[in-house]
Amino acid sequence: MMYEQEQKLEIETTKGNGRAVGFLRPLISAYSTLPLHGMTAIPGKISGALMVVDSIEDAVPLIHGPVGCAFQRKINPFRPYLPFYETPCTDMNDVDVVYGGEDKLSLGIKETYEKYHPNLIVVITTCPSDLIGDDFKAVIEETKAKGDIGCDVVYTTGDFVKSKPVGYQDALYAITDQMLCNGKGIGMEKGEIERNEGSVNIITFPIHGAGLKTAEMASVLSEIGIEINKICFDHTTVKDLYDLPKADLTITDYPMVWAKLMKERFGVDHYEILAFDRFKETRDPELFSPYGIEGSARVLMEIAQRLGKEGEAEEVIERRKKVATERLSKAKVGLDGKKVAIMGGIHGIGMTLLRDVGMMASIIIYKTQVLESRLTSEAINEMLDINVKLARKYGSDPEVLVNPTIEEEIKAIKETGTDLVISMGATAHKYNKEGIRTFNPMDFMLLHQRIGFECPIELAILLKEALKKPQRRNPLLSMLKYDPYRTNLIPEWAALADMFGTIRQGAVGDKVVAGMYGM
Amino acid sequence: MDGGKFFGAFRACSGIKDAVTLTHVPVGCNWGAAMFKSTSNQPDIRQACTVMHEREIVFGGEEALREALVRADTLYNTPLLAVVAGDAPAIIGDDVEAVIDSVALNKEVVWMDAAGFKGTMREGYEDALVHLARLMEERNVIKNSVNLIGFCPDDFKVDADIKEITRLLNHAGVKVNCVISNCSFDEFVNAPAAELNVVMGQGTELVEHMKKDFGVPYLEVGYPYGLEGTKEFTNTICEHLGIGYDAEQEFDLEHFKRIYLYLHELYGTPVSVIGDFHAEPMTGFLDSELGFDIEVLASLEDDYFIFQQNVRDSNTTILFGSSFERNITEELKIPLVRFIYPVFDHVCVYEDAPYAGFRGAVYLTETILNAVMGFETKEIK
Repeated sequence: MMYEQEQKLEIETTKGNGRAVGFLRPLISAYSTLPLHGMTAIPGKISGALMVVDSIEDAVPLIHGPVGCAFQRKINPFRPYLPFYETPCTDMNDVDVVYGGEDKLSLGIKETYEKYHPNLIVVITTCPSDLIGDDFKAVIEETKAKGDIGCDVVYTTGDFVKSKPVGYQDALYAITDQMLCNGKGIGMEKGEIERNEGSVNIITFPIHGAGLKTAEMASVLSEIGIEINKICFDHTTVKDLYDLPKADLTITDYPMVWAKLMKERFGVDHYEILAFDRFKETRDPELFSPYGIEGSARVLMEIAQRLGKEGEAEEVIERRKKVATERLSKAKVGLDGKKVAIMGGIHGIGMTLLRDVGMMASIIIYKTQVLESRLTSEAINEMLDINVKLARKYGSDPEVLVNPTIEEEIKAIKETGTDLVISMGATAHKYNKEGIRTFNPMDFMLLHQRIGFECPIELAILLKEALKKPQRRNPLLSMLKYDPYRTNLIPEWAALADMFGTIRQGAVGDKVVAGMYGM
Repeated sequence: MDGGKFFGAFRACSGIKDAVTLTHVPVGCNWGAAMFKSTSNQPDIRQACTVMHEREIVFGGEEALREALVRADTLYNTPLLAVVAGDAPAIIGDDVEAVIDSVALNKEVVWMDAAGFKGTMREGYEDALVHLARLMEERNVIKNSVNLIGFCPDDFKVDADIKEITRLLNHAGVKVNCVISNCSFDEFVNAPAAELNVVMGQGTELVEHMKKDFGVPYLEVGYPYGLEGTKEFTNTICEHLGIGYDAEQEFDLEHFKRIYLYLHELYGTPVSVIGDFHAEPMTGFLDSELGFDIEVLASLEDDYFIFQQNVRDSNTTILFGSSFERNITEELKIPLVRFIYPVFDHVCVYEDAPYAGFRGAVYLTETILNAVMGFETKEIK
């Protein structure tokens, strides 16, 4: 994408706070605030695997299990309003559980191919088929050997990887292992692959709108002289996946097991934007702040270094930075020195972005109740430190509130003269009721936050719009009764969260020392 | 697509409004049940889970179940814990009953084996109600009273429909004793006080059981859609109770008169319908009363792929179904009228906007007209 096109994109995407995605924007926000994920329920591996298959245009899932498994997983956890429509299923019954479901799996593969004519069938196993010990690999091989199936078939069980999200990671690993390394596509031996020298793959989570989120990064890399081999998942096809091993480097949001496998099998190196692994060694909080002008410059330079292009990169990055900084200086007029209260954690608007727009963190609010059942106190404390260290490094001296009541928050916000609270829609009404303006970071995170120099400019525009909104509202929502601590939950949901958190802690046994980067 | 036995049992149990449903399953099943249920009644989330994980699969889920029972008993102030055990505990052989017997709880506990591979959603619903029926107690019969059976708490329009049906029956002199499964624990326990069980589509095993154990006779009727469907529903019940009443006296055509020109235009519209036991009564209303031509009528047990193909091959211009049909209607650029479970992309929270009953006939017609008039296709643009 050319730079002029990027500027057009910026205008389109910032106009009306992301109106470019039309009616979907409010829906995305509405569903993103459903307080389910991790707090009161977890969708499980099938959902993650379905998300992967759904993002490959010519792939179809085949759920090997009872029909209920296919029925209930039709809801996409991140976009419940847009279900996974195609969920063919082997419809296992009690006879299959006793005598094995292998015949049904073979028949299911054949029927799925005949009905959908996909280029890839991803068999997603379920509790019953996993437990009874069906030999998925053998069934797939035997079925394909009959010659009726004209496409790749892989299977994902959730057992190939231990990294989270399990279903998502496992499906991608299965595709890499079984299809890219052993499939019928391009030459599978490392030596046979026609390499696209000096090129990169850019991979983002399927819900993030890869095209939108990676355009500027791709533009900068191209200008540096780094070719973009593939961007996934953006109208990705099986052919695109087969082309992934041609690149020299795969860039992912966070560590992906399949990317490591690509390195082992094809020599394709990998780079993670959120550098969990390096944080373990250095404890440098900047590694969790890849956005903003300096963060993006670091990431882009690190990518260039991997490809031996640091010389070319230096000039391009400096020039881009200069142009963006000049535009940002105009865009952020009126924001300098404004005080914001932020919600602490590794998700959310990074401290580096706030520094770019000239705002000061006056308060950092931490809600640890949900994390307590999943992370150790050591990990939670470390997470708390990240934001505080960065805030201090950038000249703020924020007041830190851990699990405050809403009244305590309001009091601190007023006492510190805070101008704006960065708050999800679920809690914004509480502040607005008290005459405190809010900024919903979800739209920004979904539609704008990315590696690139334009991102802080867009944030500055959005924050200025937020500061112009009515200071006081009398929201209907503020009349409802909420849990005093988990301020986004009504008491019924808080009870559910208590129950789920407690039981999960004991059952899953994955409470980790540093869970946020415990890959 | 059928939801399987686990979902049927879960839906039946969660219809006891002051009970907690404890699912003995891995996280995914619990998540799905919660997601489908929480669309239109978000505070009603009385659900707990044993969160079975690898450890439970290897060493058994009984300890997890024990812990969950104790915690749910402490956390929720409810009279009933309904334990719905899914596929994993059925395969690994957890002794659910022994675990329940081993803990002292302050609540009634009913459990059921609802492994998804053991049956359909309907079978899960039937089985769960029969299990719950052991809580019922012999009661003196309340004259001219009925139980309405076949509902689920997450049916689209359920609260509005029940309110309208209850209004109609009350107007005819019939008391609604209990709505199953959308009632309190006490109402459920007292269900045998009804003079008649009225079953709509599902719940037939329960009514057989109640007839045998409590002597309550039953009547199978269609879901009351449309003027004729509602009249037949009401009059049939009244006839069985010996009440001289003709519901036709409630016919009010004024609302239809207000939109008669649009109804002229829609007369003969080719439509298709897919659904559970609601589908045939709905088809009756669309065909007989609105004058629509029914192109495809499919049940949830039919092959969905073939259903879609049949709709593609037809002249269908409106499809009646669930949220699952959004894909095919988007593909064909035709409106979708959602009326059956599951609906997760529309909400229904206003209890005076039913689809059932006389008032429902009006509101349903209004919905259909608005779906057509508000629908834009590229061709229209």
